[in-house]
Amino acid sequence: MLRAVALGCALLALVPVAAATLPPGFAPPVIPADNPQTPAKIALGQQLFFEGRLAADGKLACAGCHLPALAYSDGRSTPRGATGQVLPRNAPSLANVAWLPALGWASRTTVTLEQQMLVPLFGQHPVEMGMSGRESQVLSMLRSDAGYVQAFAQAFAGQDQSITLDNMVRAIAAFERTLVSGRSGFDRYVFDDDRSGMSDTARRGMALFYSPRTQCGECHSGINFSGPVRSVGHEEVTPVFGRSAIASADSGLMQESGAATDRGVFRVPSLRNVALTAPYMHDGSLPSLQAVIEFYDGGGHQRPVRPLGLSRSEKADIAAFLHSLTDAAFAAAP
Amino acid sequence: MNRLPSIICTTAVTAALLLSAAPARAVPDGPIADAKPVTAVAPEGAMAARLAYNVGYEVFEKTQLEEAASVGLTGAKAKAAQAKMLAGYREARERFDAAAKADPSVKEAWNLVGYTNRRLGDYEASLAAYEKALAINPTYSEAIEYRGEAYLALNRVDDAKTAYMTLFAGSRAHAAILLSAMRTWVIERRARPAGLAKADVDALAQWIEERASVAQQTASLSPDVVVVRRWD
Repeated sequence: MLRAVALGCALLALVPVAAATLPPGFAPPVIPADNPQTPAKIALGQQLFFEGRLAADGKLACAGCHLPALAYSDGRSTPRGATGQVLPRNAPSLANVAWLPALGWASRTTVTLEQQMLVPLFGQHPVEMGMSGRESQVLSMLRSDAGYVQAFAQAFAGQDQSITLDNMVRAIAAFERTLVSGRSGFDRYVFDDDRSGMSDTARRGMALFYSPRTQCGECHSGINFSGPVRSVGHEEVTPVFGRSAIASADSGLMQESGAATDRGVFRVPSLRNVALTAPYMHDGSLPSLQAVIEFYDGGGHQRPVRPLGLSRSEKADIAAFLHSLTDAAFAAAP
Repeated sequence: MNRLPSIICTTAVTAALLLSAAPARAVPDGPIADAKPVTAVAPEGAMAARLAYNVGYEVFEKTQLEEAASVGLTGAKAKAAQAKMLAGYREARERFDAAAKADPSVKEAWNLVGYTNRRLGDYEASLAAYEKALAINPTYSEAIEYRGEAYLALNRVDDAKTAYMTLFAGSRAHAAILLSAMRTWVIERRARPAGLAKADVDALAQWIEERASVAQQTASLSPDVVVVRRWD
């Protein structure tokens, strides 16, 4: 008990998104013991996140597919990688990734940001940033840049050679853990008792969203509307995966597990800031929230989504609720 | 579990064990972690505090059981049970007060000084004790909830609502207890307004129902609620 409390305090002391600054309802996220949060590391991670020279084309930064103004999504159905390859899946928002129990669209085994980052940086099928085979070139670039030399030295003080790929990944992960979004109109209404946070329409939409009739909140549960989240004291949670209602050639989770039952199964995405993250679904095939609501109202392309029979005004209510999940300050942050 | 551990242990671990002891609680702790690190206490004070707390807790627990058993009694039996209950809380208060004075860092003792004072009708002393508990740990859900009930007894409705919202973000279980106490308050004030305007009571009743609805709808936001559903 004492150890848990002490650990919690230690985490809070190191995480700039500390309890005092976490939005109401958010428990402290789990931080890997070998990658504690420090201001210097986070600052370096932010710089690297926006660094185009990491990619094969010298231009495509992480931020190229995760734009802050779009809640760290990119506004396209599917992004294009640094070598020009069109990627098969939509770029997901990074809001509150620190709390996700599984990362990526279709992986149960990718459970830390440090693991996940290897996919866009070094993945070859498909090529995203295309760093594989260019590792020494990237390291040389960083080591010849006085700003990075100083930033790495500060972030990883005490290491003889602080500019390493591992440290680069650690720094970006530390930055991503600071992408906290929990001050939407919904949050102000639910946690601050501020009725101006949600209109009557949005409140009706919330009731529908969480109702047995639509069951939206069954999968989009938790503080991140993506299923249970990992936090201090709640480390062992099961991420929610669902069979996509979209007809698609993408085999989804089956690619990782090999199990036929996982064909077309994807992780349930967060709905925070969802009004900013169009287009939707794992393949970006639905262009607007209206289209998503119509899609589910009609029962989707395939089981098990059943037609909902929503009236026009009920659809508007749900749309208003989804808009209330926008955290304007988060999207406006530099 | 609610008692502090046996005093047959070394003084070196006494303080740690004392401070790690679970508080008296109506529901399990919420997800909020202690906000302040544990501070060292003098072994003598810690020992005396533990002894007083444990004796007080025994009386407290017995009194609560007797109180629960007395529900439904009428006439002289009810009167006798009431007198016995008050005597029990007085004795428990004395012990918890001694514990808190022996070691002022024990938030559990302050919390129960607050509780017993509240049950004995001394609301100002009750609030002062909860303040002490919450100064040690501002996120101590049980003390926030108990203090909310003290605010209700004093008709400080806005303060009680603030307490509810604090609990709602950190401990849904404690928030639900306070909301239930608010409902009881509304029933009591409708029966005996005690100078309160009907409109004010009705406004709180409306607020309670809205917040209950929000709590029910958003139950899955709490990390304690695990919803796992897979479409197969």
